[in-house]
Amino acid sequence: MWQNLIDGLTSLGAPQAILLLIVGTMLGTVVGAIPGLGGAVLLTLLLPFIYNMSIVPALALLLGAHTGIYFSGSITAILFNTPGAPESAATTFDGYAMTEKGQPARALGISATATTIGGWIGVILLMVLIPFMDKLTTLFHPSEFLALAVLAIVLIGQMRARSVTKGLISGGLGLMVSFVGYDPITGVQRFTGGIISLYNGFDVTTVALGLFAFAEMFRLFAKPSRAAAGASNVKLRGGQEGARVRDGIRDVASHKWLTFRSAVLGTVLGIIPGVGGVAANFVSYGQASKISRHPELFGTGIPEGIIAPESSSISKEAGNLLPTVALGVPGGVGMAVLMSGFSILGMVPGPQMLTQHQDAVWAMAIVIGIASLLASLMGLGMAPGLARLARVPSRTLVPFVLTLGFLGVYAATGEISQTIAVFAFGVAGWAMVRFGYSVPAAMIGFLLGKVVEDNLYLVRNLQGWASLERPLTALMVVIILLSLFSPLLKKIRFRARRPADGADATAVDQAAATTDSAPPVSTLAGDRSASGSEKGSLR
Amino acid sequence: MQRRLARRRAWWTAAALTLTAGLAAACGTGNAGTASGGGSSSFYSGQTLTLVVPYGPGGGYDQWPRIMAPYLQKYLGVDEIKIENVPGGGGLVGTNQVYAAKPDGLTIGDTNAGGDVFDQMDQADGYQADVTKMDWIGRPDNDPHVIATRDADHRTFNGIVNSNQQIKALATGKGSSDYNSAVIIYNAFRVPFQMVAAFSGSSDEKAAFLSGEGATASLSASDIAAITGKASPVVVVSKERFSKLPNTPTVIDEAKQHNLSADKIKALSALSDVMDLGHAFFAPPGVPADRLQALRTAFQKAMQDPKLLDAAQKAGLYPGFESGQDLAQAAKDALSQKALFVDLLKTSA
Repeated sequence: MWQNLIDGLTSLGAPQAILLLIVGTMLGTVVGAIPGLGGAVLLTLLLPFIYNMSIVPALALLLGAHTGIYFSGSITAILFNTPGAPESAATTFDGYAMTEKGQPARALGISATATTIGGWIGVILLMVLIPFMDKLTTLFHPSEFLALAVLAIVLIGQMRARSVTKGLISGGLGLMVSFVGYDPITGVQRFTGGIISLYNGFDVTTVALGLFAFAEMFRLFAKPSRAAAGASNVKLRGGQEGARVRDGIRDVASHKWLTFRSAVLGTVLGIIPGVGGVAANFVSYGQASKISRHPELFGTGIPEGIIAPESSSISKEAGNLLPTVALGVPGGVGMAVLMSGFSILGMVPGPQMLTQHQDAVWAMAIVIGIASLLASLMGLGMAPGLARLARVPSRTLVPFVLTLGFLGVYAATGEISQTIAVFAFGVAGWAMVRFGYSVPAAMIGFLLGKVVEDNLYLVRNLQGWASLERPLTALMVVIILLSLFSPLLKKIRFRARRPADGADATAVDQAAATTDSAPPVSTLAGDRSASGSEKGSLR
Repeated sequence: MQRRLARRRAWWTAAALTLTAGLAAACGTGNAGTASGGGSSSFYSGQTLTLVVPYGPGGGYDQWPRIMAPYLQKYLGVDEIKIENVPGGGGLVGTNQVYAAKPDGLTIGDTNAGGDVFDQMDQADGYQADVTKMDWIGRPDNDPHVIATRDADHRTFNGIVNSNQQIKALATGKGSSDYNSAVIIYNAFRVPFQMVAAFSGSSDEKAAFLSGEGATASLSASDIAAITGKASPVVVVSKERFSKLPNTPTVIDEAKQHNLSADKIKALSALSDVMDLGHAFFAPPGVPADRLQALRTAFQKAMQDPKLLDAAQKAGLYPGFESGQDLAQAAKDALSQKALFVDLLKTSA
């Protein structure tokens, strides 16, 4: 095993491999910022280049690009509310909110740091798990896929909606949109109106760009200037205390446990093919806000809300590698292209990969780590410059993002009907935000719709109620029930204990007030003082 | 102020340049193919051949075109082969697109020919092609369809046929050829069965099967090879025994063993014909004869290139050439067996 690890490292150390790794990462970082070209598109375009390459350099190129894509998908999410990849949508919640508060550089700093650290935690975990890979991947039954998908929808449904009910309705709306197209079980077309281009449903790019980017552009368009959103109130140049890139790095450093937890969660979820990768960033965000002492601040542009999804952004891709390599079951869209790459390179995914190409497997893990570091260094270097883009006035920004959005949708789908749909989703997203519904919940509902549908059918036909006897499924069902009913329980308990806990409640309120008004780093300070005063009041 | 403006302009230029570079890179990579080789046909030299894959990347329909591309390019003499993934509608969208393309010989595709035959029989929604009119180019592989059981279950084909309990049979999706073949076989052998099919591809089906769900899975021989030691084929749905699985009986061997009626044996051999069509390459109807000939010749030469055979074997694929003429005949024959399938395709569940 050590010999193979060293072999992997040696072949990665070759100049050609290093060069391709850098080229791949840069390409991914640049192209990934263009919505619709991320995910599988760029990787497919790179495939013709790997003929006649040896295995490790070719994988360095592909995985470098893949990692870069996920890194830069977050940059546009933070600056323009435009997720470069659908999974980056989770970064828009607090990332874009922080930009609106006038601290885009800090948000980018957090993103770059958390992505890299999270990525490396994922890679190390992956290396520990590689020897057990073929056992791990068959652990999951349809009931776990279903429970995980429902959990993600429930968690996100409670976020950014005015009430839990509205959040769950939003998730339901997302699910319904995902039902357009072929019924996976009966093969009948649903809600397509006989339009062939809708047979395969709405494209993820269409829905993600519509609900997030287009909706936000419509909102900005309706406002006289972007100043109203608060972005231009803050001087960016020179870097105000608390708004600098290095403040972002510091934010991550002071949330070590959150970073670690989210990265591990991302990796573990990434191992579950199909569902995990999609849900990982959202679930990370959800757990961070559930466990947080001030969940109500999530969505207002706090560091925790960026650290959580960003820590799992690359680590989930590390996890994704396991089912791809061990079973030939691609963990996500990018991994599917990687499998075609495998066949060009003459590799067969499966348990035998560990005996025949173990060095390549190790090399892949390390490539993800190095590429995330490279991309982040690039990102950190560019962050102060990129942050200025946040000050672009809406009269320039709106047409630019809309054009990019239409182009992206057309590039991803090649269908005129989808470019019409993206506009419609934009209007829907705008209306949802306006009336207090949760756009993220709708997005995750849409992303996981097919998973829910397929696996509900499979659970019913294969496992039945016995699935609840599976510990993993039962655990997830308990978490779902808890997160659905805990607000209610808290309320009841709170009422019962109200007289005694009065001081506690005020302390939390104070913390909220401090964080809202004071500039950035003080979120932590406020945090600390809150817990301090809490203790004080209890004493 | 002036300086600030200038600096701002510089930033904008930089941003615009980065974007343009990115787009150029993305487009540039799309156009770059491998080096051109010595071509045979004058029509094709200097041209771009578009090869449409009706599924996303990752599966056999994508692997074969990508492995063959450099060799097809060499023997056809085209400048470039552009592989386009057009997934959707269980392969219908891409296949329809090629079928409706201009028949100039510059657009071809690969397709699940057996699935197309079933779609044509059922007059499936959205299916707009006609297997009897397609210009078949050739089939690269011999990767027969099998029905598999998990090794841990110790289930034989006899065990399935004599089962008192309902057999839960996994297949990718309703109406797919792997689904239909399982239905036909289980109905022919009067197996009590329930189809369970809601997988987005054979890899998902494989994963669920390995996790312990379902009793049998409808897969291809190469799918099974990747999970040797965990699952094994119990019957091959092909006219002949498969060289790589010499001990696995064909469905016809089993039919004779179980004394099925002559009609059923006829239906099962028609099914074997349909399933043997496999991953087939085709051009839209009406391609000029000389260009179709050039395509067929280049395809055959590519399939005889030892380097290609080696690359395919390394990638875990099963090369096994069949000519376009044979495919055209087989597709016609298969379609004429509709009446035999009607009864057997009625699902019990």
